[in-house]
Amino acid sequence: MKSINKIIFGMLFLGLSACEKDLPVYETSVCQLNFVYGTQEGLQTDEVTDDMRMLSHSFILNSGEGVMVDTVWVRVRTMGYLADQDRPFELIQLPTDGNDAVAGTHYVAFDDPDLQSFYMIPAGQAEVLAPIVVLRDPSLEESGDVTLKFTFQENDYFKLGYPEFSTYSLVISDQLTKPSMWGSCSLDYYFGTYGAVKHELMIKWMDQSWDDAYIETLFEELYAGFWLPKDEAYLSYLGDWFAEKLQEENEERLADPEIGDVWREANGEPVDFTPLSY
Amino acid sequence: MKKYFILVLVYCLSLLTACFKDDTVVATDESMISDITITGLKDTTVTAFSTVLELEPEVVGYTEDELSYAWYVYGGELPVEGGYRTVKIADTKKLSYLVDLKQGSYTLVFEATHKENGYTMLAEMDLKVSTAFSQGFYILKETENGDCELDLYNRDNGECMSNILEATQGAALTGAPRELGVLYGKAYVDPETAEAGGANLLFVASGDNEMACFRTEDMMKVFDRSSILFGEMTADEIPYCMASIARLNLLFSNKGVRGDTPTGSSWVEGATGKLGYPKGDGASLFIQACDGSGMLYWDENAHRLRYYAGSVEEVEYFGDEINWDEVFPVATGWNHLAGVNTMWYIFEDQDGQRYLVFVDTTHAVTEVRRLDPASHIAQADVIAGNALTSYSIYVEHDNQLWIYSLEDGTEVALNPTGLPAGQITYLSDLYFSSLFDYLLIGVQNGNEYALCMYQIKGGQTLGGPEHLVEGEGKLKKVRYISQSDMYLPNYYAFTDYAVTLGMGPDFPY
Repeated sequence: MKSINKIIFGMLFLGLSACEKDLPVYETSVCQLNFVYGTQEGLQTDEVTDDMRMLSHSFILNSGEGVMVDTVWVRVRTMGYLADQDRPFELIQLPTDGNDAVAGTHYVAFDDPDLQSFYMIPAGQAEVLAPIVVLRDPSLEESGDVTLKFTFQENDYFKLGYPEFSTYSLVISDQLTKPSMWGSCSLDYYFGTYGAVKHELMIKWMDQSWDDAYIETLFEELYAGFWLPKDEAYLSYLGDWFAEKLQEENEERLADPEIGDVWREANGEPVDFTPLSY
Repeated sequence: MKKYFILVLVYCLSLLTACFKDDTVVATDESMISDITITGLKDTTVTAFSTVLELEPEVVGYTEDELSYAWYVYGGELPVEGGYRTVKIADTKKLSYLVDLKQGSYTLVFEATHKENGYTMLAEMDLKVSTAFSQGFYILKETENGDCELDLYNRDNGECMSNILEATQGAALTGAPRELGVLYGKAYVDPETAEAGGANLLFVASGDNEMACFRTEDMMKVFDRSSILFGEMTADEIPYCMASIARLNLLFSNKGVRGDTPTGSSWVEGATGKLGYPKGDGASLFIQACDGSGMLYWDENAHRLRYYAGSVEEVEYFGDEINWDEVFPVATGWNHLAGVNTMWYIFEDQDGQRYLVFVDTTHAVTEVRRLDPASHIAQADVIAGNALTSYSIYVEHDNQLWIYSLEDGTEVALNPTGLPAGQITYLSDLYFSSLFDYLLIGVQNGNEYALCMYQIKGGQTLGGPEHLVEGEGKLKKVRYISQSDMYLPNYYAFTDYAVTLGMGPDFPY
């Protein structure tokens, strides 16, 4: 009888109780760092492409004549609680399989004292623009492009964030280099694969820089990292127009006994504006 | 023990029940209020800035003194934040409203409210606002001076506006009319504001090589041969026609085909509507729907049937019944009887022999039929296909109409009731979605034309002309333009929706 009473009492108690999952309170003190790719918010890790992690700086294309030092800015954003004091962060170079940039020669070292005040997340903020100071070394013109791949160095304040948002590769050049927007905007499908001579001809014929800023004026970022042409017919027209100009100049070059050849890229391939097929 | 089990069972059952309070109040005869019944509102179409809309609905249930009234309008480009009560246009029972709305589709709401108990009843009606030019049957004609003009017939009010180009542009287009076409959602840059936008345009070709595109909202000229291309249109280029198909607006000329994307189907706005380099070798007036994505056309330079949907493809034909190099096109049509798409062309060779060529939706020639030289279709001057109700072609031979069966090649006479006397110079099966389907017959008497619009049943005309338009000049072509935004025009006719949902052709070419 007693046990029956206990069962009934227990059931009554059970009936009065409500189920609730006890969610954990966010209380981690770890703060992390990510780069911000593109201009729009909301980019997911699985949407990040290699083109988004690429930057380029061509002293020919992006700097004035005689400019020996220039700056490329990258956006850095924190994850975690804001702090009421300034928090320094650190960048380090990563090796690549290619021609790596050399600190002090192609860029100002990340640990240079003059840069430390810039590598700082100000109190109460979660984002900052960090400068990468690039140097116009004569070797760039003589030996070609170098690549500066970099990431964050963990310190007392910050850990690494998402791996997908943790690296940047900056191609430093004193020649024409493929603008990062060329890939983002899939210009291969309008003008064929990128080539430095092709790029130079485009700049010459249109008297436009065809750098990232100019390419961006022709497109609109529909959502993070996804660019659509404002006027697709215009880009198709330009592709045909470039091809026509190329044909005219090639005919002139072939007729000139001192040249006797068509425009070619450094690898010997003829310049070709045939768009890639989807 | 047993009673404890019963107790536990009862308790468990009690846990499954929910508590509620029965707060129902049963109405009594004294507490019931009378209903308000509103009748007398019907959907209507009006012309912007010129129509005074006068409405007085019937309201039953209370005396006029017991009720207050309000009229609201929403839709079109009006703000929507505040619901249907955002734009109030009157607070009387009788509405007298100068429609100062932009072209578009709106809803008019009439609200009757009891002053004491607050009981409200409302009624709605659709209000389509058009401009004088935004919708109707455009009639391309040649003036007595040999120039190109337009008349516009409005079937809603039965009125016909004559010589629109002279009225809006100051003069008719120089030279004889060559072609009339309709473009939906064509990108353009407003010449007055320099803003990029999209609109329904009317394409008119005239003279040796002139062309113009007019915004049908107000007949503003937005393109001509000097502005339609990014580059310069060379003097020897002849623009033949422009047309909309699915995600393309196309220009066909003797240099080839150019296209761009309609504004409604692009995620990004800001296109100029200008066109680039032509694709292919050449084109002609003889264009046709094909698969809902691109268009068939006759390339007059290569003497081949082509297909364009961004790039040019040749229409496959491996037979030897016809020598493409020696023929020229006479007519083309698109039949969609029972949801089956059949495209056809009639060609004629240098000996006057005519051929009927069938093309399927895979851009392949499926049949070449040698037409009996003694048949009417082989000698006809005016030819137009039936599109929706019969597997046939209408032809005019010696001023008599005939119906040619695409099935077995037989011909039967067609004698429409009430057709005015005169020379039959124009035939067209003109339809717009499910709105209407008319056989248009143009009859010419000197410099006067009569355009008869007949209902069609089983390919035959039904009764007398539902609409009769009379005007001056030589009738060349008639096309209907709607003020609606067309999404993927003539696309669904080539999908399963055509049969399952009746989403057939939107308009002919």
